[in-house]
Amino acid sequence: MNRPLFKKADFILIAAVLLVAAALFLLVPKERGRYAEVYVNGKVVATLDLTKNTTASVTGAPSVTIEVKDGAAAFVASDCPDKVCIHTGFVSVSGQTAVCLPNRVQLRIKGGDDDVNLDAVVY
Amino acid sequence: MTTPRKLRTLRAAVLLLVGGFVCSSLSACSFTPTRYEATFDGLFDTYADVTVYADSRSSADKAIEFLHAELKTYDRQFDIYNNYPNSGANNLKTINDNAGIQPVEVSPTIIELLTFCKDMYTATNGAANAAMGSVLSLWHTAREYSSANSDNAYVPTTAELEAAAKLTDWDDIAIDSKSNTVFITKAGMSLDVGAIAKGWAAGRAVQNLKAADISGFHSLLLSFGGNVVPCGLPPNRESWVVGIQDPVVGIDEATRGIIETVSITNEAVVSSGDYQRYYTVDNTRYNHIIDPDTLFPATRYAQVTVLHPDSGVADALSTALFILDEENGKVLIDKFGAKAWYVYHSGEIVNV
Repeated sequence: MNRPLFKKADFILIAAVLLVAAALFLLVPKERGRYAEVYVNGKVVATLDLTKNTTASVTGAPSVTIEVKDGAAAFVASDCPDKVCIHTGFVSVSGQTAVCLPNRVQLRIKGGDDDVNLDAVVY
Repeated sequence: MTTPRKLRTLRAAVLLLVGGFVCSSLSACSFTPTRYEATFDGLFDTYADVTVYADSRSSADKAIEFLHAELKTYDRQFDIYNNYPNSGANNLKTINDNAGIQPVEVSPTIIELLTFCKDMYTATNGAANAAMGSVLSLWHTAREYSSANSDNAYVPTTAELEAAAKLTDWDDIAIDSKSNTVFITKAGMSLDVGAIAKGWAAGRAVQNLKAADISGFHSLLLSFGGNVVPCGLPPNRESWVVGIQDPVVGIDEATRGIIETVSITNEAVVSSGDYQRYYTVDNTRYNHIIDPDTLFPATRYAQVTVLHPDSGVADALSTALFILDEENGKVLIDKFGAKAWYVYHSGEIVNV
């Protein structure tokens, strides 16, 4: 008498395991596309969707304006004397940053849909 | 005919495989160290971004706090603009303030840094000169004033630059490593370690972090105002990937991309560039890297990036190479066994 390879209970077990796995997979937050985080004094004050063009001043640093355009972000206005932040220009690659030291504002590109994931950027 | 025993074994194997596959794909991250991030604000007048891999939040925090404390003590000791009276310790500003007056007792760390600066001055034939504070402060003052008062923007005069350049000789600095004293013998002379100290401090901090052997800490990448220094390797990878930012593209032209990616295991990567820190007088840009020969900003390249296992060497070399022509630069690159990427204003990239 040939016994079947799998009993009914086995299929239920396999299905249950796969179901739990699928549920966990969906529950664990997926890697988002690229986005920009704005820090003031080392704390995140805004997260910007790079797919939505916008221009806004920074909460906690009202003289600083950040623009999002065509998937990139930049400092476009600041009352700092050196303008290093504005000179940096638009950044878009995950790992790139732009900084306004006098106003303690940092812009960081994050998220992982690039071909190359960079651990850091030298400039 | 397959025997029932074989069938049972097959069945068990399939079940194990499914279970094992699901477990490993779901819990991969709980068995490898987790990635944490931190940002230090205001040390060495820049930002530090830290990527840490550790078994737990508390292990990561211990590593981050250790690194921060290290960098903070170096920042205070190497500061030329502020004293820290409450710390009770003399720093580079104290040495500068006592130029032509008296020797100043300092920490062994300051002696080590200055000895390193002097060695790099000799090795680079004066291209990286931390005793050029007199010249650099003229440019620093001009840049600060002109940036805030663009209508009255100015460039230091050749006469004042040449007078200051007479006060840039390491022979006039007495470093006594036995008594831990430093004496700048000429009044008006001063130290400015801005082109070296950040790299040196980052390298030393990472070295000490390694030696501290913090339990549960796996590895870390320190990006200190663009100086990148690794401590160990990221989990399950053979190197860190560092991007070199495009120095050439205009602000309004396009997005500033990445022109090159570099894989590192134990090397520091440091860039010197002219496109972020500069000021403008009569439509001419004046960047912050001053050539000791011309006493004016170096203009050969838009950016030079150096890769070398010693973070202090990499930092000093990036400045020296930015100043020197390619031929003299090559001598230094070979002498130190470094790698370099030059980016010209035309966008041409030369890898040496």
